[in-house]
Amino acid sequence: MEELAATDFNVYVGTETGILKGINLNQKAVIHKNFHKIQALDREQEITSVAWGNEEENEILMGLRNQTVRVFDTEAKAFVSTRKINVGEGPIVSLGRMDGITITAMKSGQVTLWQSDNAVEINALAKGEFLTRMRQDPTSPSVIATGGKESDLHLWDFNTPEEAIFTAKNVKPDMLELRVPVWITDISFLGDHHSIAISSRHKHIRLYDPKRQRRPTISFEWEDSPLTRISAVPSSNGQVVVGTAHGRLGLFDLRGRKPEEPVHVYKGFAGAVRDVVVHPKQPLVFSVSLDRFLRVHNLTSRKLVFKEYLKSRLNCLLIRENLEEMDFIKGANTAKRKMPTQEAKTEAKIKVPRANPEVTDAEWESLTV
Amino acid sequence: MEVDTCTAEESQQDELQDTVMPAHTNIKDIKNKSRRAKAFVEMKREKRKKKLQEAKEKKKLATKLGKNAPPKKQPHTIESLREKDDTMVEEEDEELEHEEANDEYASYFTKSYVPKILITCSDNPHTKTIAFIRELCRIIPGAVPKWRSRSSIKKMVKKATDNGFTDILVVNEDRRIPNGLLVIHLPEGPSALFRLSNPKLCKDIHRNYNEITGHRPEVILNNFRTRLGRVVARMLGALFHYDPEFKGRRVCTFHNQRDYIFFRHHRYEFKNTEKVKLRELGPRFTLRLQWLQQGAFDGDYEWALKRHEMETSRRRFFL
Repeated sequence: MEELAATDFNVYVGTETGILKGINLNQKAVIHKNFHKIQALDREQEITSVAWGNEEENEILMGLRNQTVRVFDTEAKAFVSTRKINVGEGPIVSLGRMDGITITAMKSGQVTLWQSDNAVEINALAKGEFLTRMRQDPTSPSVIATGGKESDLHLWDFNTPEEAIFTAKNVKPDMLELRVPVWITDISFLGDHHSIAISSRHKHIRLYDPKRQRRPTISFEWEDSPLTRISAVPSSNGQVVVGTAHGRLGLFDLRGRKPEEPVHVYKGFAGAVRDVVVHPKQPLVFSVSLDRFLRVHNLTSRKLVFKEYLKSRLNCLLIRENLEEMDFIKGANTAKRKMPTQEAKTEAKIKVPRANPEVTDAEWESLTV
Repeated sequence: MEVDTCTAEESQQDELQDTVMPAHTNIKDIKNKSRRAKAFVEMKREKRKKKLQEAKEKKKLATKLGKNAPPKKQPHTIESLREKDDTMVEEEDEELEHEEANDEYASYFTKSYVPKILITCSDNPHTKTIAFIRELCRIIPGAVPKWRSRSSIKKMVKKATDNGFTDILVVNEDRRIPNGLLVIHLPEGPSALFRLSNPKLCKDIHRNYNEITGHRPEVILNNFRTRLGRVVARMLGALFHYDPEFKGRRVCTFHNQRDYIFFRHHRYEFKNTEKVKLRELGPRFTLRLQWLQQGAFDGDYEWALKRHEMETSRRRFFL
């Protein structure tokens, strides 16, 4: 059992102490494992970002505070290589990948594409204090979005690194004619392929449509707490999940009639949400928070399906795409003996619309002909 | 076969013949009031008798067996029935030791700096708050009281860091009574807000503040058992000098009970090897954690109390 489980971790978590943890949400039990020798770590090796290194999801890129990119092989369960990059200052903010080539973004604003012959560099911080986030467009990977403190949303293309494709314009001054401060904490490309949602430390959730205008099309505030993370729901067009620094997590429908009212609020957090991922295939919201817990909520029934104490403060999160829901939910069920999870499971089953359309289409055609 | 059936029939007949009044098993089913009362008194008496008998036997057994007597049963309390917490700290946890060796307080616990504490309050403090701050300064060695003079906390954090302070304590007051304590560790956090209740000054417990000597006190951090409790305990402990002067026999205690942290201040004296004499010096107060933040009054929350969401059970505690 132990060996079987160890071969397939489906969630990876990067911590503030520098430990990478693999978690297997399994039928029988939850197994988590540290991949580091703890003694060798220090505060400078805090994992600030993680990303998949290839399509098969057997390589993990880890960005550390001391400007190092480390690669972890999930098959061999070992660190394959480390690369020290000396660009700019401050920790690595985000990592990305384009055709197998690593992209790094530093706090001081340099975004670099590490090609073998010559590296392409974008200086994403013409003005402003520091960069907080870089995200890649999932549909066209050469396009990236950046944002930071006093640095509003920018879109860049690696084919034309000199100038930004799109620069956002700040919203109009408020009722007291004071400038609204900018401090983007996270960016997310929505499922409709042309709009971008951001969250800010000044409590704003904004929706940009680069084709239409430079100012946000939707801008509103949520709660009296800085927003830390925003993540699009892959199966929908305009839904995003937003986490706050006080430990709240809400689902918003930016295309709905009332975008500023959360559709659902996911509960159970004691500390700030540090990273949120909605699973691309299953209706599950994975989140890690500063209170050292990994939590999994059901997207639609908002029940807490699963939680696990992971001992360190957690920073970032990676999930395998081929996570099998049935496995996982059962595991949570036996481990925690909770009634709600069962309910969640049935709902989840109903809510999976992927397989159905094809079948019905075929049937439909056969009926009509 | 035949014999068997015969006996069964006979017994049935017997039962039919000796019909008696039904014996009441349940006293509340007796309809007659006086009989019911009588039966109840009787039952009580029986019960009491049985109990006394059992106690007597137990005592007898204990004296007979001496040391090998069965252990006394512990009564259930809310604390002994505490809900299981995943974050409870276990001994010999490598990951925890590593984290504590690298956190913001690591330099205090390796004795590389002497704490220097700035104590201030909300604007326009009243008598009780001022007296409270005065007594805090007597307890904590190396504490400097300052008037707030309308300064913002963020500005204060910056200035205090430049002036070599290691912690800031801000006492808040409401209705002229201190009601909050903000602890900020410099230069990069963490910070925590405590609700302060039942502040009793030396005078309120009939003590003279002159009894508090200038010796560096010992600090006892009691019953902080979860991961969060551990952080809070380290935070409170790091306010005091790491090297106590045992000659002063002064001891400051932070005792956690059901998430309330009780502060007491004593002078002790060993009368002989068994007996210790304690004299409370005052002040005393109670703290309750409201939130814990990562940075120096600026950053994400590691823990925040959400009353209705978190306080779901009387037996659930966080420290």
